[in-house]
Formats: sequence, structure tokens, C-alpha cells
Amino acid sequence: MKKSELLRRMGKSKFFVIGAIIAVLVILTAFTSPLFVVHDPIQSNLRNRLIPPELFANGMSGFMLGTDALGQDIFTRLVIGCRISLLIAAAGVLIPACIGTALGAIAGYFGGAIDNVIMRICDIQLSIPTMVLAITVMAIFGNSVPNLLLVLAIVGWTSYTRVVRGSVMGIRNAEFIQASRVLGASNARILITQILPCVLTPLIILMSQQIGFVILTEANLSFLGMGVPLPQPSLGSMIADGREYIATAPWTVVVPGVALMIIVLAFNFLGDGVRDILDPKNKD
Amino acid sequence: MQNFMRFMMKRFVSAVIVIFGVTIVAFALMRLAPGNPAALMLPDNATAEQIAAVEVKMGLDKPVVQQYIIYITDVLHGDLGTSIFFNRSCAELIFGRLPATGLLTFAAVFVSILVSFPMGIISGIKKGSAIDFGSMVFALLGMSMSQVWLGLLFILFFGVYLGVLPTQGYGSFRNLILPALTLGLPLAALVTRMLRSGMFEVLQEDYITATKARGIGNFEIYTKYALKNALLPTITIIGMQIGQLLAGAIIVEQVFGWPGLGSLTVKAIHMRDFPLIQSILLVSATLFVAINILVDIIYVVVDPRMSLN
Amino acid sequence: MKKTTRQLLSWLAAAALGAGMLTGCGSKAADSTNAGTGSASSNTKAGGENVVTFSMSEDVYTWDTMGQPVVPFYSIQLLIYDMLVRTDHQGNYEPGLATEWSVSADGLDWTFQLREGVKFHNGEEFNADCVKATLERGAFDNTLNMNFLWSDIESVEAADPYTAIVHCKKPIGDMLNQLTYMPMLPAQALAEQGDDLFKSNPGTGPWKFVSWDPGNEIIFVRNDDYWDWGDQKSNVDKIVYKPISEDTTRVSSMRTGEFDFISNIPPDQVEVLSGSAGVVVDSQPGTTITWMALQSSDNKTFADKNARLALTHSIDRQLIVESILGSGSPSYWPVMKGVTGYDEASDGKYNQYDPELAKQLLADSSYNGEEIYFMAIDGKVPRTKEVLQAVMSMMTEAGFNVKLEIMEGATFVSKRSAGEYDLAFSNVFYNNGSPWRHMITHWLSDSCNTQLENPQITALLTQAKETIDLTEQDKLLKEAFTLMMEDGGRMCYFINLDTINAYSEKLSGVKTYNDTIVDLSRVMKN
Repeated sequence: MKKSELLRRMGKSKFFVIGAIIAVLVILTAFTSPLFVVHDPIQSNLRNRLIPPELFANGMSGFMLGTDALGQDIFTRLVIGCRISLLIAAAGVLIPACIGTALGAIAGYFGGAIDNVIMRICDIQLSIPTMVLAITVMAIFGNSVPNLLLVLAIVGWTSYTRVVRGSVMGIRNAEFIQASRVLGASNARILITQILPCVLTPLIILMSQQIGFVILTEANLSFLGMGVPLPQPSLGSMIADGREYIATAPWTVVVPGVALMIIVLAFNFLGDGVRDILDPKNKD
Repeated sequence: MQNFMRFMMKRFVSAVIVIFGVTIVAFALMRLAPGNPAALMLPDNATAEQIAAVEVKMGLDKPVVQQYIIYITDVLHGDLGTSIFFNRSCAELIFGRLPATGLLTFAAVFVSILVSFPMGIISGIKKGSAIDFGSMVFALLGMSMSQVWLGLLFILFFGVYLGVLPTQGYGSFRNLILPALTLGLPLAALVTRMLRSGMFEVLQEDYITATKARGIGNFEIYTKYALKNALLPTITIIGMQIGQLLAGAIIVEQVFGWPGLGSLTVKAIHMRDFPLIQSILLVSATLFVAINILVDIIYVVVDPRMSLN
Repeated sequence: MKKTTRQLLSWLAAAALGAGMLTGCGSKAADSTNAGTGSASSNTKAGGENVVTFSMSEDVYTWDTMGQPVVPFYSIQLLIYDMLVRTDHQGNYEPGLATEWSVSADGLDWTFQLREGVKFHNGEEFNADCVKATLERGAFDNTLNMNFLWSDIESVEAADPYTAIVHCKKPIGDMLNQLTYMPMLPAQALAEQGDDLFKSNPGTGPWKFVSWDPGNEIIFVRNDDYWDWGDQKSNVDKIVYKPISEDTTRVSSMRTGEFDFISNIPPDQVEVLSGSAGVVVDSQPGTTITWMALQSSDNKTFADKNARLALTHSIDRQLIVESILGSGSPSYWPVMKGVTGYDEASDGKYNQYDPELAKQLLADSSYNGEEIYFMAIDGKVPRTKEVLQAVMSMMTEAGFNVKLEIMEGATFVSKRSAGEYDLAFSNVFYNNGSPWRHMITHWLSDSCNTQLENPQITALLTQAKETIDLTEQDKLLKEAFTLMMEDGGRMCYFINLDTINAYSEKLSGVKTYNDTIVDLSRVMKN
């Protein structure tokens, strides 16, 4: 698609624009956070427990969004937690995307027995409920960020495999591919230089749609006690930790809950927007 | 017909392979995890001999492969084993929980269909309108809320503040409402989107324009042509979700105290109750695979143009 | 495909889907009709039936009375069973199924006179054979969880139908206490059914076991033939137990009236409940103590006594009690008031918060900044994550480098037995004022694999264990505990938890004890 067409579509899609603006804002805030946060996100101070949000009463050095049950400033933990959640989301999308794309491309291109084996493995995994798999893997390997990424990778690769496989199967016998073969290009070369670029569109669409889902999965795992390990904050663990105070100090749950919702919403908007833009069937 | 039978045979064979694969994975994974179920049943100061004695009682002293063969043989005879911790037959425990899980699953699907079908179909037809925008916002919102948060908010609002619905438990219709909503609304969000894009895509097709030119009314077009085609991928998604839900909605079950398969599974994993976990995964994998085959059949029946490969 | 085949298949598919929906709806319909009789979804008088529903956080897993105990089971067994001896949970004993008892001078033979005319729920008579069958099973079957408590029994003699003599290999100092949580089982049924006996759970108690739907509810009905109602016969027809793991849900259900009694109340919800109409909050100092095991094998940080003492002085227990828990009290001694071995004079002498001393001791020790691996399971103390993070912060201030990991039970148990930790957090409760379960499991055996041996402590405890006279036992335990506090290991005792329950104003006759056990057997509901 031509660049000008791309830009036109980007501008026209309401979802893309809104999603992109919020997402960029969130990312910027999260990643510049070390520059402006005042409080220490992981040092507890029991004398400051559960202070209600002061908003701008004390400026940046006050407790703008209140403190949590350990006396830690929620605003600080929120932005640091966002950063961690976003990093995990990014890795949690990229890693399975790479694995899934590789497997899907191989399955779709070579077909036959290889395809069968890969699809059966896919089916086996899909037949095991996501959470059960996550809990079991965490039980085996322990609770840490690399293991969390492992769980997200295991849980996520199947969607990419299916999408890429479908895409590859559609074009593997196209004329330009056959031409390359005739010219003597190796399978590996064909896969990498010619097939992969063609699956990029559905891949990008899928990836942008998965970001929100990965963030929520991490939040759910935190609720079950298996998310980002202590004492690092993450949005999911903040909600999980605060749930006991939902009646008495609701800001401990509402603030991260709303933040989580906005972030996931932004990425979902973005994902939809990306799909609207890249979808060749969309004649808007 | 020949083609169809061959297709079904292929699906059946791959289903069996998948189910066996799941049992092997379940077996292997659980034994990789640290922790010994025999040790968990005894007090902290149990001696090695005591632990060994309990292992013999549980059949865990045999080599792993032999344990697997024993397990599979029993399954083929209809015996799903005995739970180490509950000391009851796994079948009794699992099928005892299935009604609760089944009920919640179908209630959630019912809620989601009730909410999503009207919204999805109408916004697919009137894309770009205010209704469409509203539906999309609802859908995206639904997909962005954590089940934990949604569930806790419902409990607080409807259960405690308004006092109109029970906050936990299982037994009457009213107990079902909040958990079903917590599960069903995010699912509705997903289905709305699928229907919307499905409807819209079909309505763009050339043959629709041709049909309109022939004078066929809008309503007939929407239902007979567009809906039928939009439903196909929707049914796939719903089928997959049903399959996953039947394995238990772990989070919702914990928040609402719903005695379904999910909480049983979590307990079994934490206690390293090997026979129970294996059998739960076997049953849920079978259900999942069965539902997928059902969905395939529906596909073929509804759209005979589908290739059977 | 031919049209007829297509039609046939579409009917099949529709039928399958329909069947699926019907199963869902069918069970829904069935449950609605069952609601009145089986399930206790509504806690009001259904059809004139007076129902009491109580809830704690765990479900029962095994019904074997000598199996792995869970907290609710101690209370549940009071409903369906009787024991030989009863207690007020303050260390005083009363006749139960035994009307009187005596012990020989050498402490090796206990003679129990048994109550006549008591029947089990399955019709069997209670007699000396039942005592023999119950206790010998515990003593001889080493695959049972509670075997270690009874393995010093040599044999039980049924001298006559209502006299049982227990012959011990060594004196069992805690005998009477142990008997208070050892239900008497029907000998004949036990012999015939073995472990299957625990599917019907026939006891002699005031309530009969009806059914167990794992994870959902347990149902008991009143035993109108109970031998000991006296003039306190309950007006409640049915008791239902529901396990709810989510604390906020359990509390919410108490507020809506779905539950009549709950325990395990998170500290923050205590105020909420106190303000709720019709709810009584019952809080008392409890006998649950939280502690950390210290790994003291060679080259580990806590092999050095200075490091151990630095740890205990670095923790501000009082601040955690006041700010995070809102209840409980700091542990300055291995046991608290009301438990044998408690020394009022020493309370406040050890485990004092002294950050300067902690830093000094740590500097004096051989500690060089190595990472301290601190592991725990969720749930042993309210707000586990917060409390332990606070502890971690305090340790960091003293100069420790701490890595905290909260993990699931199976992994924790396996690592702790292997000694793969520096600090391992847990709790224990002392039932009926007796410290023996904990002392036997963790001091007379090193089940946390701490590798810290103190022969003096071991000798004192061994002697105390075989001392039947409680005053003597108390003296010996005090000596042992003093040595424990001065040594700083194997355990660092942390905080004593309060026992907090909440129940409806409509209830009376509820007995709550400081060791978290609840006796609902004589409950009345208006």
C-alpha cells in the first residue's frame, strides 16, 4: 500500500487516532517516569498507610493518588507498574509472535507431515485451558519475570501459528513463489525474503490485538498470585493486593483498575484501528 | 457423503491423537513440578519410610512410564482413578462439578448472545452510525476489563450496596446472575466484534449488490445471506470459548465461590493430586475436541461450499 | 452432498446443541427444585426448617479423623463426633465419652471408664472395643498423618466392655489434650469398611453427617437421639458448612445475611462488619503464632548466632501489629498466655525492636551481604504480602539483602524439607493450651531441616514430653524456651494472631475458643 494511502487511512480511523494518542501518552509517561517520580516505589513506610488521594494539594511531592496498604505512593507505583506491565506486554507479544510465525510459516509452506505435527501440537495445547497451563508452568519453574514471559509465550504462540499458516498456505503456490523456486532459491530464502513480508499484515493486526489480552492475562495471573514477583509493582498485582480494601480504601483498587482499563482500551482501539487501516477489504 | 465420512474419520482420528497428547502432557508436566503428594499428606516431621509407604499406597513408587500405562489402561476400562486428596473417585468429583460448570458456561453464552447478537448485527449493517460507535465502545470496554475487577465491582454494587443479589454460592437462579454476567459480558464484547465485521464484510460482496438489484428485500438479505455467513466464524469463536469455559472459569469461580471444575483443578494442581489433574484434563480436552467437531459439522451443513479439506 | 444428507446432518447438529443446552437448563431446573431441600442457597427458614450456615476459607479434603487436618475440620468434628475427654480449651478437662480416668504412677498405663448407653449414628454401641480400634489404628498405621502423636502407644486393652486401658511405651505428657481431638470411631464398621467409613462418618455426636459436595457445601442434621442434649437441645434443624476462599466474598455474604457465622476475617473488614446491623464481631487473643525457620547449616548466614539475633531485633513487630494487622500482638516468647510454658516474667525481654543493636550484631557477624532467600506461602498471616514486605523493608534497613518469594504450598514444603532457603515463614496454632504439636514436629524433629542442634533444648523437651504433671511440664518448657530465645534459632517467632469470628445476632450457644476452634454443637437460632 502506498505511503500516502496509509497516512490517509490512519487519519480517517477514529479508533486508530484515539488509541494511538492514549497509547503514546501512556508509554511516554511510563518510560520517562524515573525522571519525575519523587517517592520510592518499593520502600514501605507503615506510618503512611492508606492515605486518600491528595491530587494536587501537595504538588508532585505529595501523594497525588494516595498511598497503598504499605504506605507506598500509588502514583509512583502506577507509572512504574505501567512500565513493567508494558514491557511484559511487549515481550509477551513479540516472543510468541516470533515462535508462532516461524512455526506457522513452516507448517504452511511445507505442508504434509510437518504441518500435521505442528497443528496437532497446537490442538493439544489449545485443549488445555490457558489458566491451568499457566498455573502448572509457574508451579514447575517458580515465580519470576522470565518465567512469566515463558508462560505468556507458551499460552500465546498458537494464534500466530494459525494465522500465519493460513496466510502462507494461501500464497505458497503463487506464481512469484514458483518463479523463485525455478530460479534456484532455497526454501529458507524464499520463506524469509518473500513469504514473510506477505504475512506481515495479518501478523501486525493480530499482534496489536493481542497486546490488550496479554496485559489482562498478566493481571489475572497476579490475582492468582503468579504475576510479577514482589516487590515490583504491576497493574495486575496492585489490583489484586488492593481488593481487600475495596470498601474501605477504594482508591487502592480503583486507580490501578481504571488505569488498566484505559491502557488496554487504548491498545484495543489501536489494534482495531490498525486492522481497519491495513485490511485490503476495507474500502473506506 | 463419501467425502463427509472421510472428513469425519480424519477429524475423529486427530481428536483421539489430541486427547492422548493431552494426557501425556498432563502426566509429564505434573511430575516435573517440585513437590511430592505423599509428603503433602503427611505432617512436616514425616520420616522417609512413612513417605515411601504412602507412595506405595498411591502407586507412585513405580516407574513413570508404567504409571502412565496403568492409568491409560484404567481409563480405557472406564476408570478415571481415585483422587489422592479427596479419597473419592475422580469421576465422581469431576462429574459432580460439571453441572455447576455447565450451567455457568451456558448462562454466560446465553448472556453474551443476548447482548451481542442485536448489537453486532445492527452495527454491521449500519456501519459508521452512532449505534455502531456505541457498540464498538461497549465491545472494546468489555474486552478491556479484568474479570477480577468486574466481578468485585458487581459484588460490591449489587450484592452489598443494593443488596438485591447473592454474592456467592450455588443453588438458585439468583446465584447465577452475577457470575454469568462477569463471564458473559467480556464474551459478548468479543462476539459483537466478530458479528459486526462478519456482517459488514458479507454486505460488501458483489453478489449482495446483485441480489438487491433483483429486488430482494433488505430483511431477507440480512438474514438469509449475510447473517448465515457472518455466523460461521462467530460460531467457531463461541465454540472455542465454550470449550475453554467448560474447563472451568477459574477466576470467576474463586471470586464468587462457584463450585465448578476450575477451582477443583487449581486445588488439584496445588496438592499435586496427579490422578485428579490427569482425569480433569482428559475430560475437558475431550469436551473441547467434541465441541470443535460439532462446530465443524455445523460449518459443513450450513455452508456446503466449504471445502472438506 | 445430497440435500437429504444435509438435512439429516443439520438435524443431528441441532439435536446435539439442543441436548447440550438442555443439560445446562436441566441441571438449572433441578437445582431450583433442590434449593429448598438440598442446597442452602437461601439461609432463611425454608419450609419451616431452621438452618445455620457457617463459612471458613478452606474445604475439608479428607474425612479421615487421623488424616491431614485442616482448620475447619477441628470444628466440624465437634459436630458429628464425641471424644473421650472434653476441654474448655484453657487446659481443663471434663468427661466426654469417658466418665473418669486415671494414670499409673509410672505414666505408662491410662485407665478410662467409659459411658454406657451411647450409640453411633449407624446404630452400633460405643464400648471399649471402639477405643481400642480407634487408638490402635492411629498408633500402628504409619501412613496416617497423625500417627506420630500416637506411636508411643503399645496397645489398648478392652478390660471389660466399658473399661479401656491404654498401655504406652513411654509416658505421653499430652495424652489428655490429644484425646480431645481424637474422635471415637465405631469398631465394627471400621473393621468392615476400613477407609470407606469416612464416606458416611458415623459418630456419636449431636449432629449427623448427611452429605459432602466438595468445594460447595457440607450438610449436617440434628441428631435427636444424642445422649447429651440435656436441657440445651438445639432448635436448629440443619447446619451447613460452605468453604469460601475469597475473603471479601465471605465477608460480603455475612453482611447480606447469607452466612450466620464466619471466621478468617481480614483485619480491614473487622470495622466494616462491626458496623453492620445484626452482626456480632468476636475478637480474642489467639493461640496462633507465626514464625520463620532459619537455615543454619555451615556457611549459611544464620549459622552465625549474631546474624540470628540481628534478624529478630531488626523487626518492629509492634508497628506491624498496629498498622497492618490492626490486631494481634508481638511474639516475645515461643508460646503465649494460656499455653503451657508461658512465662510472664520473660514477656518483653526478648525479640525487642532495636535497629541499632541489629545493625551492630549484623556487622559483628560473618554476614557479607549475601542474598537472603526468604520464602513463604500466602495465607499464614493476614495480608501476607504486605506483612512480609514490611519485614523485608525492616531487614533491609538493618543491612540484610533480602529476596522475598511467596509461592504455592507444594513447592514450599518440598524446598523447606530440603533446607533450600534462608528463612521460611509459616504458622502454627496451639490447641487447648498445648504446644506439643509444634514442639514435636519442629523441635524434637528438625522438619524444617535447619541443621541447628541444641542438645540442651532437645533434652529438656524430651523430658517434658514424657511428663504428665502439667506444673512440672510447665517448668521444663520454660527452661527450654529461655534457651530458644537466647539462641535465636531454630525459629524466629514473629506475631501472635488474634482469633476473630463474626456471627449473626440471631445465634446463641456459640462457643468460640482462642485456638480458632468453634463449637457450634449447641447452637440456637431465633
